[in-house]
Amino acid sequence: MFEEKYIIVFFILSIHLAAGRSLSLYDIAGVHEGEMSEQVDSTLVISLIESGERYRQTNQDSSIYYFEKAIKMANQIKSDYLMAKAYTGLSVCLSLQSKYDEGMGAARKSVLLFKKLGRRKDGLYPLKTIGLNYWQLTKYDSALIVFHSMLPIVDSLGYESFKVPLYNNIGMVYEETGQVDKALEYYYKGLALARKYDDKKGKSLLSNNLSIILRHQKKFKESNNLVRESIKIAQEIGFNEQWARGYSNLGANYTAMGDYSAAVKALDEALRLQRKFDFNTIKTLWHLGEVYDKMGDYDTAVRYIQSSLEEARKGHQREDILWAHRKFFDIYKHWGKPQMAYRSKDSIIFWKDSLANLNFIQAMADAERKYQNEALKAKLEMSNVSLEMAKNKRKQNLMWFLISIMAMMGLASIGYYYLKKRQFKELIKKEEEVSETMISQIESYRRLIASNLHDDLGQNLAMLKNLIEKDGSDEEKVYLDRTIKKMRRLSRELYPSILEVYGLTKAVDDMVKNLNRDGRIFFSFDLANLESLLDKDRQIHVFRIIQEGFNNVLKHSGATAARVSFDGVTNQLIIEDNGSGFPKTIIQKIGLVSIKVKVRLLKAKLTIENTYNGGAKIIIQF
Amino acid sequence: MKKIIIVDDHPIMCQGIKSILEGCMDCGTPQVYSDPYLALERIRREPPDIAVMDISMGELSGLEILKIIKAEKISTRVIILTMHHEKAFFLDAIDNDAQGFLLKDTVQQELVECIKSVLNGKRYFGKSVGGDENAISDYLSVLDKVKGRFNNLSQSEKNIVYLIAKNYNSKEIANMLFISPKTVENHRWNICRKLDISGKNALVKWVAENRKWIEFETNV
Repeated sequence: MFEEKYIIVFFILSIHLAAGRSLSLYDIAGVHEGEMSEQVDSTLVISLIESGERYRQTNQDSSIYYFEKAIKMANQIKSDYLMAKAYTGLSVCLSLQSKYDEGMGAARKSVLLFKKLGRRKDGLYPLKTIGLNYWQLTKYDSALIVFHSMLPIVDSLGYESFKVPLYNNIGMVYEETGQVDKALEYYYKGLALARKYDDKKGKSLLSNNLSIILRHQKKFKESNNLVRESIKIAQEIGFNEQWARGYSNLGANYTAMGDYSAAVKALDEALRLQRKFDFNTIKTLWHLGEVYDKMGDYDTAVRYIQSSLEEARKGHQREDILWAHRKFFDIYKHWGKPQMAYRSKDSIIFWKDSLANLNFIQAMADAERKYQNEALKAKLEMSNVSLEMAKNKRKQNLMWFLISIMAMMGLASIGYYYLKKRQFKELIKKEEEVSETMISQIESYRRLIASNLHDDLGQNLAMLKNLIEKDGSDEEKVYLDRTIKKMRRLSRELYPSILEVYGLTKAVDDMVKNLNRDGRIFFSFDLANLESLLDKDRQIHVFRIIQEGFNNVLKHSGATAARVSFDGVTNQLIIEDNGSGFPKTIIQKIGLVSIKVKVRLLKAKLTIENTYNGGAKIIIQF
Repeated sequence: MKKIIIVDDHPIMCQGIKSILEGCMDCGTPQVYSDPYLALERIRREPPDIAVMDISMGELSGLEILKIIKAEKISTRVIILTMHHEKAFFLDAIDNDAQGFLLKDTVQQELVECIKSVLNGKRYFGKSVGGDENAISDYLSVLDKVKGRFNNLSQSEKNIVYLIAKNYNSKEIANMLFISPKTVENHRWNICRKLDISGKNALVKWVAENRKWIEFETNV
């Protein structure tokens, strides 16, 4: 401790000398409080690592934050041991977030550090993480090499109990690669060891994994016994994850055996536990839906899938939403409700599109490749046609040749016409797809630029204003004020920060208040529950539609009042004013292009008309 | 000695705020946190007297920390210092017991005064936020009484109250909101019921009494 204090004092001294300031008594007295904003010692690093571990399951982002801070500080105080510890924690967190490559990097650093320190036992944990990450990345060979290379280390350390999870992991890899016999061998070995050392967690995990294999081999009785044992142990030691997983496994067993009522009982228990411990329930809900589907109780099946859908929506898990709709489709098909099935099909297509939007670049690349393929195919067909023609020329007499040429030309022109027509249609469809993904991309770029403008450049300008407050000339101040105002307006027009933080209703509220400041036209709004029906990505499109509608009112309408409203019963969003209405050309669908594109993006329908007293009216049917 | 911390992820701003506070009052050198998570941990572990916080700081915003402080009843008093001049942020901050609210472009003139005022138990809001001082104090004084009831109104009903405050009659209001005069009357009846007032001209009277507050709500 004494030495550290000296270092800190020296550090502060050097800062002051560098800043060219004299040193007051206070500065030395205030050593603990100020200046060293992040005072570093090993207890702080340890507490950071502990914080990181505490949040690992619940909030990985903040957990990663803590570990990264800990690594930085451990580096400052040159503690390799703490740094290695932090790297171990970080690697596990990153792997939990599916960032396997980064996780592996952190784990490697940790292994190297532990090796340098000669702490081989500590090094086993990051090694295991590396193996598991290889497994997740489907590099099974590498995973096996890592796990097998750990076995002699464990032996030489005499740390035999560590073999239990190790055997489990090896078994899992073998199971994944289809080497069931080897998997069974390692699972049984692990289970025997777990029994020997009374490693309850290992026992419960291994018997669970064993039971799954036995289920696939249709040895239901053995499998059931193992699951039950696993559940019992998990409950005993409070291993909640396995406790719940065990019950859903049991449910799967009974489903495979055809005992649906027992399956439902087990799955219900799994669901209860998952809810109690706040685990993800989506898979269990699907499973329950499937079982009820098999039992022919379609009503209940639909209800379970519905609640899985709600769960997925809450977490914005698009893939899961898509899957839920697929299950709906299956159930309605079995149920004999083709109309509902079609509706699910629509949803499936919609969510597929939505997923495609996410993968914009991928989609572009695919479209490009497809286009090239088509072009190549067309070229090949053309050359086939000319080859045929050449053959004919040789074989037939002139008459036949002329007739065939004419027929060919006729056919070719008909074929050509249809080909062109199809190409044109596809082109239009592609264009639409691309413009939709483009708009989503543009919105995200706009958001990025707006936040950079506002939070970075804006703050620099604000600081500049503070600096010239005392001795700047009036002219300078006026110019700077104008610049700041302009920057704010620009940032708001690019992407309103209120929308980001508070959502659609508040953002429209702010927009309407801004518009009403002018006073020429009275704008009002009532969006009812619209905001709750849309996710953030779609809210910005609705916001833009309203913005553009109101801009049109300002520019062209000559109105004195305008309003946007949403009717939750008919699902209609209406923008109307009391001005002179749309000119005929716009109603004949030439104008309002950008609104049209966004409406299509929302999978809604646009109608443009004039009201009975002449005002303009835009109706968007969701 | 009073303990003050600064929470802001923008390095130039931090430096600026620190240099403003250094050497004035007996608050020592304020501690600076550029990481909101570390700041929150510090506030929980050892609450400072005052926290000067930015709003936009990546994953954890100053308003979220403010709400945590309120919910966990931590003694730290919060001054929000931000680039956001939209009123929604200001209202959100004062509804959650922020003791001060300043815009970053006037921090030089106002921060020291603001901190002194807050240390004396008086709220302080920058001159360029939320209109003049009287309007804000009026707003705050009736906040609990009026706001709860007013927020029960639907957006359509609120629109009508705003227009009554601008002295329009029912027919004019009907025209401006694209509804029939009868619907306006219905709305007015519902508004009276929700605001728990009755009698002839009760709504007009209520609006007249609370005009300042309503104007504060409707202005940008």
